[in-house]
Amino acid sequence: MSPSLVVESASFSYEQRPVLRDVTLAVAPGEIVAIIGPNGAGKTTLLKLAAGLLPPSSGRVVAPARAGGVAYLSQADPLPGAFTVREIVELGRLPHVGLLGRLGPLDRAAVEAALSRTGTATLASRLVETLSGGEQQRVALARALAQSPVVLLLDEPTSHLDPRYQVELFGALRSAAAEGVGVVVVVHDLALAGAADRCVLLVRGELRAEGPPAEVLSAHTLSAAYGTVMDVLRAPDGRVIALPAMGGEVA
Amino acid sequence: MSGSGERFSGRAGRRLAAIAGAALLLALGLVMSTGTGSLSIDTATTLGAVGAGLRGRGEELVGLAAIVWTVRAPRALLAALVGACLGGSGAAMQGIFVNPLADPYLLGIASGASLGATVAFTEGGRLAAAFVGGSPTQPAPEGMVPVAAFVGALGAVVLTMALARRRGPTQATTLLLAGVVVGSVLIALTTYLMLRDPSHVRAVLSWTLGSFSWSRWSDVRSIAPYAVVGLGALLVMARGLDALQLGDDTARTLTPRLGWLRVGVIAAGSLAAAAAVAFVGVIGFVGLVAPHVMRRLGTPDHRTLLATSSLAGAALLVLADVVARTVERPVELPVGVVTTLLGGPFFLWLLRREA
Amino acid sequence: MRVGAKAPRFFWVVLLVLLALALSCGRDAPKPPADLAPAAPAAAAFPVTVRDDLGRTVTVKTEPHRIVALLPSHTETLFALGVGDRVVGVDDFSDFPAEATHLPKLGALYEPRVEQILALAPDLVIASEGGPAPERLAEQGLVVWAGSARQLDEVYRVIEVVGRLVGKRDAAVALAARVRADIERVEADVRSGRRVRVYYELDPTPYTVAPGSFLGALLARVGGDNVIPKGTEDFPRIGPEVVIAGDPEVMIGLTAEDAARRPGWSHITAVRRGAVYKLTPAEENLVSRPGPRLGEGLAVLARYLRRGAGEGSR
Repeated sequence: MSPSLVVESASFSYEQRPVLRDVTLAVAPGEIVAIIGPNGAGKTTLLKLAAGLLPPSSGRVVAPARAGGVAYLSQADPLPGAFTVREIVELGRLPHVGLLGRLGPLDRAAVEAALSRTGTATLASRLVETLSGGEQQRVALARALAQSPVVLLLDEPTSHLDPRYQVELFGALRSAAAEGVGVVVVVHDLALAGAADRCVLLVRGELRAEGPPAEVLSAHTLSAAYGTVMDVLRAPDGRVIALPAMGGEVA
Repeated sequence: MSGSGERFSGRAGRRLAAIAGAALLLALGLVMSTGTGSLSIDTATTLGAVGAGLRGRGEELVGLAAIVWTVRAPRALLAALVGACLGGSGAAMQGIFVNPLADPYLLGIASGASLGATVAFTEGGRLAAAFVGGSPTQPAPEGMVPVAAFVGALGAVVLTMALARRRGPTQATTLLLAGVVVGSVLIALTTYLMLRDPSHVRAVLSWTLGSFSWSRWSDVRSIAPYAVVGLGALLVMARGLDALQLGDDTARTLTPRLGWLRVGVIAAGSLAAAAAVAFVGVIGFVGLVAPHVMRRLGTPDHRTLLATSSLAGAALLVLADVVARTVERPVELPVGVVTTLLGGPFFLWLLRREA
Repeated sequence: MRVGAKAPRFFWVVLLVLLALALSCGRDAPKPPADLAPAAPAAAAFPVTVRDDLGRTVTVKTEPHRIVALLPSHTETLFALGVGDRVVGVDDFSDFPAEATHLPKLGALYEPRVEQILALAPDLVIASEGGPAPERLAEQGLVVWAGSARQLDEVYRVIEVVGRLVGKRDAAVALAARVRADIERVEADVRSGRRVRVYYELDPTPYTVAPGSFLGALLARVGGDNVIPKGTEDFPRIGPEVVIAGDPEVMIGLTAEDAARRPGWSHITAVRRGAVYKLTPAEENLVSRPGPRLGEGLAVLARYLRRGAGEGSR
C-alpha cells in the first residue's frame, strides 16, 4: 500500500544550527508510528516538517493533497476557554467548509463521530474552560479527528494525562487507525511507544533506529541513545517497556 | 455554526440575545443623543425634526428643529459609526493577537494618525500657501487633517507589518513588538514637531482627545464606506480568526492561506480604525472594552463577536458623547476623556471579576 | 609812569567781570526735569518695597537701570513710561514698540531662558505671576516682581506699581490716567448704540471667552452681548449648539468661510450678514495685552461690533 505521507531525506536547520539531518519517514495508512528520542533530538521539528509547518532545507515532504488531509495537534497550545466543546470540534471542519460555507450533514456526522470516539459527546455543550486537562486533550483530539484526516500528527498528546486518559486516548488513536488514518505520535514516555506499530528513534537530528517496538526498544540501543542504562521488560499484554535503571551507571 | 435543538436555547439563544441587546442599547443611545445636548430641546420638536429629516425635508428646518437635524442627528450617527469601527477593529485585534486585552491601536494606528494630524496642523498652512496661495501662517485647510491622519495611521501599520515580516518567535509577538517600536518612534517625531512649533499644541491636543463637535452629514457619508467595507471584510474572514485561537500551528493546518488571512484581517481592521481616528481623533477604551465584554455576554465565535462588538462599540461611544455634552453643559468635554474616565475604572472592575 | 597804581584796579575789574559772568551762567542752567521730584523727595523714591501678585515682598534698593520684562504688556508699559532705554531684555512675544524687537529675546511664559536672563545681570525683573520664572530667578538672587492685570480694572494698578519700581511714579500716574481716558472715550462712543450679540472664538475646537474673562469683560464694555451664558468658566470649550441658539450678530476670531461650513451655522445672523471677522495678529495683541494700549484694543472691538451691527441695517 502506498504511504499516506512521506518525509524524504529531509534536513532542517534553525539559524545555522542543524536540527534534522537527512531523515526519512513514511507513514502507511492505518499504522501508528511513535517517534521517540531524548530532548533536543528534533522530534517536534520532524513532526512539523511532516505537517507542512516548516519547510525542509533539503529533501521533500509528500503530504496528502486533500483538504484537511493532515491534522496536527501541537504540544503546548491551550484551547480558547470561552468556546464550547462542540464549537471547537466543529472548527475541525474548516478545511472542508471554508470561511463562508455552512455545515452540511456530512460535516455534522463527522463532528458527532469525533465526539463519540473521544468520549466527549456528553461534554459537547460545556465551555472548554470548565474541563479538566485530560478532557481538554480529548477535545483537541476530537477536533483533529473531525477533520476526517488522512494523517494524524500528535505532539506528546499524553503528557500530563492520568493513566486512564492515556489509555482512552490511545484507544481513540487505535480506532482511527482502524479506519485507515495514518497516525504519528511524538512520545516522551517510552511505555506508550511500546503500544505503537512502529517506533522511530531520533537522536541529535538523525534517525538512529526504525522498526517494530521490540526491535527499536532494545536495552543496548536505548542506553546508547539516552545516555543511561535502560532496562527493557515485557508487560503482561506483550508490550515492550523500557525504563531507566535507577542506580545504574551513566553511560 | 452550532447547535442541535431549539433555535432559542443554549448557544444560539445567547448569541441572539447578545446581538439584540447590543442593538437595543445602540437604539437607546441614538435616541438619547438626538434628544439631549448643550441645550434643552423638547421632545415634540425633536421628533418633528427627525421626522422631517427622514422625509428629506431636513434643509427646510429652522431654529431648534434645525439644530436637531443638522447638528445632533449627524453627530449621533457619526459616533455610532466610529464606535462600530472601533469595536469591530478591537475584536479583530483581540483575535489576531489571541489576547483579550488587545485594542485597535496596537499596530501604531494612534501614533501614526497623531503624527499625520500634527504635520497637517504645523505644516498645512505652509503647504496650502505653496500650492494654492494665501498666507503661509494660515491654519491648515479643513480637509487636510483627516486625510493626513488617515494616511499616517495606515502608513504606521504598513511600517509595522514590514518590520514584522521576519519570522519571529510567534507572529503575534513579533507584530506586537514591531507595533511598540513604530509607535514609540512616531510619538517621538510628533513630540519633536510640537516642540518646534508650540503654537499648535492646543489644536493638536484637542484633536487627539477626540471630538464630535463639528459632525456633519458629509462626515457620515464619508466614513460609512470604510465602516461597511472594513467590518464586512472582517465578517467574511471571521472563521479564520476562530481557527487562530487554536494556536498558530494548528490554524495553519486548518486554513492553508493563514498568512494572507492575517494580512487581510489587519488590513480590514486598520481601515476601519484609521477612518475612525481620522474623523475624531484617538478615542480609547471603546475598542478594548466592547469586544472584551461581548465575548462573555455573547458567544466568542468571531462572526458573532464582530457583530456584537461593533454594535456595542457604537452604543458605548454614542452614550459617551451624550455624557460629554451634558455633564458640564454648556461646556463640552472631549469624548476621549469621558471614555477613559469611565472606561478605565469599569475595565479594572471587569478584570478583578475575571481574576 | 606809575604802573603799580593802575595794576590793582585792573585786577579788581577783571575779577568783577569774571564774577558777573559766573553769576550769569548760573542763572542760565537748565531747570531740573519736571518729573524728578525736588531734591528731598527724590532721595525717598528708593528703596521701594511692594508686594507682588504672588504675595512676595519685593524690595528695589536703588533705581534700576538694567530691567528685564517677561510679559509684552510690561514691556509696553516700561517704554510708555520713558525707561525703554533701561530695558536690557524682553520675552519672545514682546514686539511693541519697534525698539523692543531689537532687544535680546529671553523665552516664553513657561520656558524662560534663565541662563540668558542671569547673564544680562538685571537689577530688576518684571514677570508674569504664572510660569516658573519668578521662583527660578528669585532663587538666583534676582529682584523679581511677578504680576499682571487679570481684570480690566487692574491695568491701572499694575502700571502704577511698575512706575514705582522703576522710579517713574508720577509718569505712571499720568499714563494710567491716559489709559483710563482712552477707555472711557471708547465707552462713551458706544453708549448711544444698542447692545450687539457677539461670539468671540479663541480657536476652532471651539474654545471661546465667557463674560467673566478678561476678553469677555472688554466685549461687554464696548456694548457686546456675549452669547455664552454668564457663569461659564472663563475659556470654555463650548458646545456649538449654544452658539447657534444664541444667534450672534457679530462673530470675531474666525473667517466667514469657516463659519458657513459648520453644521447649522449658515442660518446664524452674523453668518448670513457676513459679519464674521478675523482679527489681524496686531489686533489680537491689542485686545489681549492688559497694558497701555488697551484703549486701542477696545476701540478695535468697538469698531467690529459697530461694523457688524451696521451690516444688518443694509
